Amino acid sequence: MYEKIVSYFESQLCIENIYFRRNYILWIVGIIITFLLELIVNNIITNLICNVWARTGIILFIDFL
Amino acid sequence: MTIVFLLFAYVLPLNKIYKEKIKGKTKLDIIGLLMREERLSAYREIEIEEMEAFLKKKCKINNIESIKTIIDMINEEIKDKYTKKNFIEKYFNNTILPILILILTIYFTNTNEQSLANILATTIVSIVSIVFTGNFITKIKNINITPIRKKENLLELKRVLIDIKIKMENK
Repeated sequence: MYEKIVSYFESQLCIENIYFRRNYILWIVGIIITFLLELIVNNIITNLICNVWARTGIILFIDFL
Repeated sequence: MTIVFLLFAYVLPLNKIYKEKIKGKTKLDIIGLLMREERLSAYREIEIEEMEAFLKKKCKINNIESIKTIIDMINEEIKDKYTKKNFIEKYFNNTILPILILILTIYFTNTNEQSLANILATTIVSIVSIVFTGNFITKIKNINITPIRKKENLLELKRVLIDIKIKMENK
C-alpha cells in the first residue's frame, strides 16, 4: 500500500518527475551539450587571454551565464 | 551557459506543465517571495484533491488512522535514507575499525626495526587516506544527474497527507 501511494504521488503529482518523464532526452542531451560547449569556450578563452585573473573571471562569468 | 540551459530546458517546460495542471490564472507574488512568506500554492489544492480521491477510490482508505500510519512510514524512510550521517558514523564500525586493527597488528608485530614515530605516522596517513577515499566514493555514489529530489517528494507527500488528515478530522 505504501509503495502504491508513493508511486502514484511521484508519477502523477510531482511536477519534476512529470517533467523528467516527458523531457528526459532534452535534459540529458542539454547537460552534455552545455558541458561540451563550456569546455570548448573555456579552451578558446584560455588561448586568447594571457592574464590568469582576467581569464578565470571571464571563464567563470560565461560558464555561469 | 548554465543559466541559459536551465531557463530553456528546465524552467520553461516546467512552467508549461504547471499551467497545464492548474489551468486557472496564477499570480506571482514577487514581494512575498522576497520576504520568504508562506506561499499559497494553487497546485497544493489539486494535489490534495487528487490524492484524496486516489486514497478513497483506489486504496479504499477512509480513516485517519491509516493515513497516520502512512505518514509514520514516510517519516521513517526520510530518517533512514535521507538524513545525512557523517562518514565516520556510517562506516567506522564496519569498515575502518577492522582495517585499523589489521594495520596496527601488522605494524606492532614488526616493531624491532621501526621507531614509534614512524609507526604512528604511517598509521595516521593510512586512516586519513581511507577516510578521504571513503568520502569521495560516497559523494560519487550520490551524484544525481536528474532534477528529482526524492526527499523533497516524500516531504511534499507528507504535507499533502497531513492536509488530508486535517480535512478528514474536521468533517
